Amino acid sequence: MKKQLILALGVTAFSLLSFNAYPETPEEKGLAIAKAADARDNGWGDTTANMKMVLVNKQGETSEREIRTKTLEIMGDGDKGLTIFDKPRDIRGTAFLTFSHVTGADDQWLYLPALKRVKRISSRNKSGPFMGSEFAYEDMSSQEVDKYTYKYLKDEACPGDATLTCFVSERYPVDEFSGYTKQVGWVDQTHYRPMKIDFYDRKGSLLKTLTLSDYNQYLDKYWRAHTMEMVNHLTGKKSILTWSNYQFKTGLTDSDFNKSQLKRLR
Amino acid sequence: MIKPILNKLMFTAILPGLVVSNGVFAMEITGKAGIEALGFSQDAKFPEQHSFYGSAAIEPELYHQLDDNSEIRAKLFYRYDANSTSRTHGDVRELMYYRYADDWEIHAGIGKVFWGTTESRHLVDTINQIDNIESLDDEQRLGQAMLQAKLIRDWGTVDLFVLPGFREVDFGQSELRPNLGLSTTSDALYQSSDKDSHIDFAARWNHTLDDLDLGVSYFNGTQRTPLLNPVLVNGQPKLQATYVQSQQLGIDAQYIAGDLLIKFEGLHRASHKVSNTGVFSDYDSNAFVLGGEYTLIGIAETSYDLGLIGEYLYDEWEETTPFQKDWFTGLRWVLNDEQSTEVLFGNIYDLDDGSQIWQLEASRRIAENWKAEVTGRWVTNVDTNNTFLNAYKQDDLVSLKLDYYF
Repeated sequence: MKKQLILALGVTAFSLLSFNAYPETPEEKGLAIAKAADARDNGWGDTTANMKMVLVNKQGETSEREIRTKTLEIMGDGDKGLTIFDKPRDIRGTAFLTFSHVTGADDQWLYLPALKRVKRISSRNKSGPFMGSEFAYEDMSSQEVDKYTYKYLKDEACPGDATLTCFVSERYPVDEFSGYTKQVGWVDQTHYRPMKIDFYDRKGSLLKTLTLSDYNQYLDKYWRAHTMEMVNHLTGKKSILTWSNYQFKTGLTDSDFNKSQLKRLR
Repeated sequence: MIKPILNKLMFTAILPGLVVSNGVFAMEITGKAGIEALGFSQDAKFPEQHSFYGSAAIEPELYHQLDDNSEIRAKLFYRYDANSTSRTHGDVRELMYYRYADDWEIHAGIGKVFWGTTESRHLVDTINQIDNIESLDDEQRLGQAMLQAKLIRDWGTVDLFVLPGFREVDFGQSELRPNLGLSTTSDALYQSSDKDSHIDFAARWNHTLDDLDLGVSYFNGTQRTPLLNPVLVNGQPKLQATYVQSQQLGIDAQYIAGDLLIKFEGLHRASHKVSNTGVFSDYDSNAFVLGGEYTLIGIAETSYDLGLIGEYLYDEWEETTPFQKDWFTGLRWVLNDEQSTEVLFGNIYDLDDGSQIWQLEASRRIAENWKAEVTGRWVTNVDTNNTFLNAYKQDDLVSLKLDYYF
């Protein structure tokens, strides 16, 4: 990750310097924006947070899920993540451990408390719904620069906050098992925070829109959205994530993300 | 005079509990409670049996944190069945003290341990005795007294177990359905003179090597699965559960090849047989389950997943299992919906005699804290020489469960 950071700074510096001298291709500019955003989100170490998810169906009926997350930043690869389910109560104590990788499949384990069983699961199923929601597993996983290729489109007033200007870029998943052909993202030019993402399905039509809001800054550096709303345009269903109790640099280490420790969780 | 002292005693006894439960180190009580309707479509084989069994069960769990590194967990189980004294039963599934450090753990008390990977049979899963009354398919096990040490290292995790005390299989009384047909004698026969207080040992190493999850286990002690020895008691034929001493080496593995999971469980037992006259002799045997599960993701442009499961079952020891040479076919349909609806269909086909067991399980969350589960099981084409399946021949069943989680 450090290497990437230097590279990213290099690329941004280069692109700023060369902005007037050479015409940058849209692909180069798209990549540079992604790298700049990534560089700004480097070095947070580890985080813990609570998440509430409200699923809303077409008729407006709701159901709730509550989970806790722990994340460990891994330099040079994807992050390690631990998700513990609190609600619905029939899956309370179920835990989901992921080692995400920039290239190749992620490693995933599921802990089933009723059976005291740790089950390794296939991570191919990226496009499947996360807990019956409109979020797919790949939407919830660690976002790494190299998981996509990019193309810058235009500058535009940010959706949700017209006082800010956004870069609008397309990105294309590298993984052939992604459920998307492309995503269109709005990233604000001041802090490089994603404000909105449109998801296009395998047939190339607009499937979902994610809106990110209620940003808070932590450790004077890292911005986290506290509300994420995913709307499915085909089904009319939506899922709203509300994050709370964000903690940074809590002292988590690799050993907190060992599959042998899943049974300890509470 | 006595009353104030009693009051004081009660306060000192109760107060710490209250303080603890409101303090940093919390006490939590969770669990589930539910009702079950179990029905049989055919005429009963025995006059004491019924065609319907109605019951209610509760499974409370307690969690009490002692300090940052230690805790107590408990899980109790009790079922009351209005139609069966055998099915009215309880168990301490867990009552365990845990102590944790970064790379080791100590567990002491009563608990449950799971080893294994395959779907059709839990072959290497040895520590806990089966809850024969509660289990349709070996999913429920009895709590086992144990002292466990866990070492978590870069080269894998090692578990060491000392297992004092042994729990017999409860075969129930004649009104239990299904049952083996021949009632079992009240006294089991043990090979060890320590009987059910023999101290067993077990160890397991497991590790992840890229896409392979591998476990190797060793067990030395009283074999959980009994041999059923026909004996005459007052001129009546009965079965005597016989528990032999056994050493076994087990391997469980799972390899991920994209959407295909390849699963293996293998066992070598250095064990014993018993003659009709109660004489024990050495008997070695091998058993394995090898198969895979292939998942079709998002079938027919839905968010449904369909898992296709195939497993070959092999076991040389005919007295302990019907699965000498069998093929398991499974279909797992996961709807990925808000209600977490899942359907699992399974068939085990005996490659020697053509006997078949069928099972269908479906579950769905029907309200915020409520879950419904339906299970059907039936046998077809049962060969007259297949003793295990003959016991289930007139016992095709449907079970409906409704559970509330608290």
